[in-house]
Amino acid sequence: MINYLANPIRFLKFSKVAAPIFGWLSLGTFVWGLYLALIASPPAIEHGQSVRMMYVHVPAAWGAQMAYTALTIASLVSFIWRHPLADSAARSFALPGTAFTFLALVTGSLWGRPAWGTWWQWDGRMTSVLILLFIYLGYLAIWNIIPERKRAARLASILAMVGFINIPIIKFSVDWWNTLHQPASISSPGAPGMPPEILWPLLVMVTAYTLLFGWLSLRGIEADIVKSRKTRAESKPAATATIETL
Amino acid sequence: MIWSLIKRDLILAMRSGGTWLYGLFFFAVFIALCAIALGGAFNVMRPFAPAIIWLAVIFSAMLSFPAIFQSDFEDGNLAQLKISGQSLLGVCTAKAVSFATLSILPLILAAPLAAILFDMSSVSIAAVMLSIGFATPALAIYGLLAGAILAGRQGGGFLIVLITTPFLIPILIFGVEATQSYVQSGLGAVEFRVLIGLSLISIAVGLPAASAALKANLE
Repeated sequence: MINYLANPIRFLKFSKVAAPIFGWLSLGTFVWGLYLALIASPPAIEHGQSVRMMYVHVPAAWGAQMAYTALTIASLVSFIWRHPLADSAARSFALPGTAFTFLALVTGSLWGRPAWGTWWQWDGRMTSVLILLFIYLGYLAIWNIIPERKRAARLASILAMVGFINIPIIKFSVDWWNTLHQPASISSPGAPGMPPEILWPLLVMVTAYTLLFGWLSLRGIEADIVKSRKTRAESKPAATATIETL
Repeated sequence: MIWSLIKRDLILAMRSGGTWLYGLFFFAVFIALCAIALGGAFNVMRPFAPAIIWLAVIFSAMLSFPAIFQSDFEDGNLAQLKISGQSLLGVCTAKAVSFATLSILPLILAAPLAAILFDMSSVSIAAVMLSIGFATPALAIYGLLAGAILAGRQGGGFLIVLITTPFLIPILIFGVEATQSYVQSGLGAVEFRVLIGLSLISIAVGLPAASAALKANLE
C-alpha cells in the first residue's frame, strides 16, 4: 500500500479521491460532534457549562501530538530513503500540527480561567505543550530559511527526529520541575471515570480533528508535489545578460 | 585528527585578538543588567542568583552558537576536511570540545566573580560551577547541532535561539534545581545524575545528528 503510493503521480490520483472523503467526513463529524458537545451533552457537575471547552481543547491537544508523531515518522522515512514524498508529507504535517498546538494552548487558557481562576500556570503539561509549539516553529523556520528543497528536507528531518527523542525528556523535566516547585493543585478532569454522555461527544470530536488533520495534510502534500514539480519544470536560462543603454 | 583540530581552534582563538572573550563580556553585562533590574538589594537577589547565572550562561552560549561553524564553513575548511575523507563525527567532536573550552569554561571560571556580586554563599557558588560543568557537553552539543543545521545561512541568530530553546529547557530546569539541592545533599543529588544523563544523551543523539546536518550542508 505504502509502496504503491510512494509514486507521486499515483499518490496524486489517490489523494484526489481520498482528500474530499476526508474533508467531507470531517465536516460531517464536526457538525455531529459539535451538536453533541454544545447542545446535547449535559454540563458537568464541577465545571458547569465551561466543560464544553473540553470538547475543542482535548482533541486539539491530541491532534498536536498525533501530528508530531506523524511528522517524525515521515522525517525518518525521508532521512533514510530520501523519498521526496516523505519530505512533502513531513512538511505538510507540520502546519496543521502547529495550528493544533496553538489551539490547544488558547482553548486551554480560556478554559483555565473559569475552571482554575487563572489564564496560565507554569504547570508541567502547559509548559511542555508550549515547548512543543517552539519545536514546531523551529521546524517550520528551517523550511523557510533554506531555499534548496532537498537540503531543507534533510536538515528539517534531523531536527524533527532529535526533537522527538527530546519530547519525553522535556515532559519528564517539566513535570518534575512542577512537582518540586508547586504541589499539584490541578488535575485534568479524570479521563477514566468519564460518564458516556461526556465521553461520546469527546470521541466524536477527536475523530473529527483527526479527519481534519488527514484532509489538511493530504491537501498540503498535493500542493507541495505540484509546487515542487513546477519549480523543476521551469527551465532556467544558462546565463542572463542585461544591456544598459545610457 | 580530533586533537589537532582542537589545537587549531585554540590557537586561532588565541590569535584572534580576544573575540572568544565576547561571550564572557556578555555574561558580565547580563548579570549587571539583572542586578540593576532587580534593584540591587542582596536579600532580594540572593534567591535568584543561581537562576540568573544559569540564564547568563545559556544566553551567552546561544549567542556563540552561530560562530561555531561559520568561519570554517565560509572559507571552505569544512569542505576540505570532508573531501580529505575525515569523519564529520570527529570534526563535530573536536568542535564540541573547543567550544566547551573557549565559550563555556571561561563562564564557569567567571561564575565565582558573579557570585560575589550577588553575595552568594561559597556552597552555592560551588553548586553553580559544578552544575554548569556537568551540563557543558549538552550545552555545547545542542549548540553544535543548531550551528550545523544553519551553517552558511545569514541572519540565523534568532533562529538559532528558537531551535535550541526546546533542547536547553531541560538543562536549565535541572541545572537550577541541582544548584538548590546541592546545598542539602551534595553531589549525590538526583539532579546531578540527571544532568550527566542529559549530557550523555546529547553525546549519543546530538553528535551524530550534528554530523549528519553538517554533511547535508556540505553536499
